[in-house]
Amino acid sequence: MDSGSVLMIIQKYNDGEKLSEYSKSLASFLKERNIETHLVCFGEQEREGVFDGMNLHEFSFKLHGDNYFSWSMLIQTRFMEKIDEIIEKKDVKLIHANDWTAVPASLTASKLHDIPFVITYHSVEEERGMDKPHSHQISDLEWEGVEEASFIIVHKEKTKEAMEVYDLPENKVKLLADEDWEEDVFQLYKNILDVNENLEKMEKEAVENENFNAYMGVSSE
Amino acid sequence: MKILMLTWEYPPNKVGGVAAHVEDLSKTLDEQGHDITVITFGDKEESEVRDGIKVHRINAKEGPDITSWVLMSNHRMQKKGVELLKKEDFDIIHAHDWSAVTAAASLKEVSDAPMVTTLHSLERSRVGSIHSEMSKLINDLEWYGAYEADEVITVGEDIYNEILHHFSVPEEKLHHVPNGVFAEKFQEGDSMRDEIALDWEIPVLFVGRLCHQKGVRHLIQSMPKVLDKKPEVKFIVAGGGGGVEHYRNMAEAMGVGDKAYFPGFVPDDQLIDLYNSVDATVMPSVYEPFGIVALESMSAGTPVVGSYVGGIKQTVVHEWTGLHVEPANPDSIAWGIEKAVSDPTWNNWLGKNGKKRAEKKFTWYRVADMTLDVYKEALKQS
Repeated sequence: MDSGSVLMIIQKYNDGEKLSEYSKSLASFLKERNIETHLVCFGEQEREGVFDGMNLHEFSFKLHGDNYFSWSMLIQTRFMEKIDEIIEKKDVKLIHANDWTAVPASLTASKLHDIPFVITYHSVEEERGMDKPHSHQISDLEWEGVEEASFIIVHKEKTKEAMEVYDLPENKVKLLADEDWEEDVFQLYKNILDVNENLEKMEKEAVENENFNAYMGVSSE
Repeated sequence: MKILMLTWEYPPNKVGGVAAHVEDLSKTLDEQGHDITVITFGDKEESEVRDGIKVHRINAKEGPDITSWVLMSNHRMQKKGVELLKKEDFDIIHAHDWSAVTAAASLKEVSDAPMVTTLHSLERSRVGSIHSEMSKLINDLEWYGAYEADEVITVGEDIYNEILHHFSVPEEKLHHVPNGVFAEKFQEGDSMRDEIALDWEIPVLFVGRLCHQKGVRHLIQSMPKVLDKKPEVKFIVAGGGGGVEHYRNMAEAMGVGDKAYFPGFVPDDQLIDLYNSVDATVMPSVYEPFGIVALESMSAGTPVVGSYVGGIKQTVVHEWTGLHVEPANPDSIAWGIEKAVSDPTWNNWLGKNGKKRAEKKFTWYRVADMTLDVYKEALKQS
């Protein structure tokens, strides 16, 4: 991965908050390697521009929802719209969702555009106690994300342990807790994109072989 | 034209009238050579071709409230829609009611196909007012569905005016397209009169969800008044919903328990037999955006006694195909029932007029043509 953009999805961008600082730190690291970060999030007002070294795309939404869960689900429509808009214009190589609130739109966009996606779970519902009215639905979304993402990144052992209930495939969850975690995330991105590139190459070769066989009158069966 | 329909209910899953509406519209459009795909909710993820219509069912975990379940379902509908969009294009995305709005709006954005929303009813009228956070969200989603849509369809004139007034939808994008009926389907029933009433009794049918909106309470309050003058009347109160036990107890308490039979939810084939077995169908609704029951009953040649509300104002013609009564007024309902069943010749005449009206004015072919005109308008606008 030596160019292109990463699409970072977080629910809100507020200076000084965990997810914002996380995104900022990763974006700054990627920028040094000529990789642009586009951050999509909800905001009180529509806002576009370069902030803290990232291309910020804040969208607003008029509906409020009847609770936090429904509001988080409602804004997925605007997330999708914004993500789609950016993908149309930029060379987006990878989508990086943060927590369940970014999962629905990220995984749908990933499917639509064939762009791989990863999720960082800063914590999961199992770990938070499964004691809220919508805990089961949130957990269901987290699990859906686990199934569909290329990798899951976590930064603490407790989150990884909590995820064991999901009966995950080996190596799907990456615990990155070193000082230079940004470098680890970057290497993970590279691995995903290399695998993707190889898969594309294999697919292309298979089609070419099939065409050649058809031309020569040889059945590929 | 390739049309993607999004609806929370589709047969065999039926709760309200939306399932039947979407199925009949889809079948008619399919017969006319259009290509219809439906995404709907089901017990599990599955796809099937049902009467020529491609049906994809998604599943979502239930939550503590209906809104969270609907929004989860919409996420899954959206995901399924994207899967389909990768393989094929659609000319129109058609959402039915608030429960399919967010998925349709997203699919519109990513596909560039115009969106049409049909609002079959409105929360503010279903529950009387917007009095809770949940009602507010449902009301907001109805507004959002109208706002995001290129064209909006309503099924009745009253609901048309409500949308115009409350949601400020430009008149040029709002269309009144009534519901339709396959009249012949309701003429093929066998009489089951012997099973529901004694020889000397006159059966009168109510069918629908047993809830406040349908005016079941007012019907039960009217029963002693009807029986005072016409003791031969026997009430068949058919329909599911949480209210069966409540209304049965209410009838008992009012001393008419032995004259009111509650068979619960009745499947389609039995319902057709019922329409063909009774002397009148009563619709005491306090709110009824359209009221498909009127058309079904009229198709079977059975007069309708219905509240002068919503779609019943258009389907029933007073003293021509049935009788209009005042909503929420047991005296008026009792008057209508008694009058409709007292003169067998007149009853028969009302039934025949109703049948003709349903066959002529409310065919699905006509409704499908009107819907296609709306689709064409949406394509022109986009």
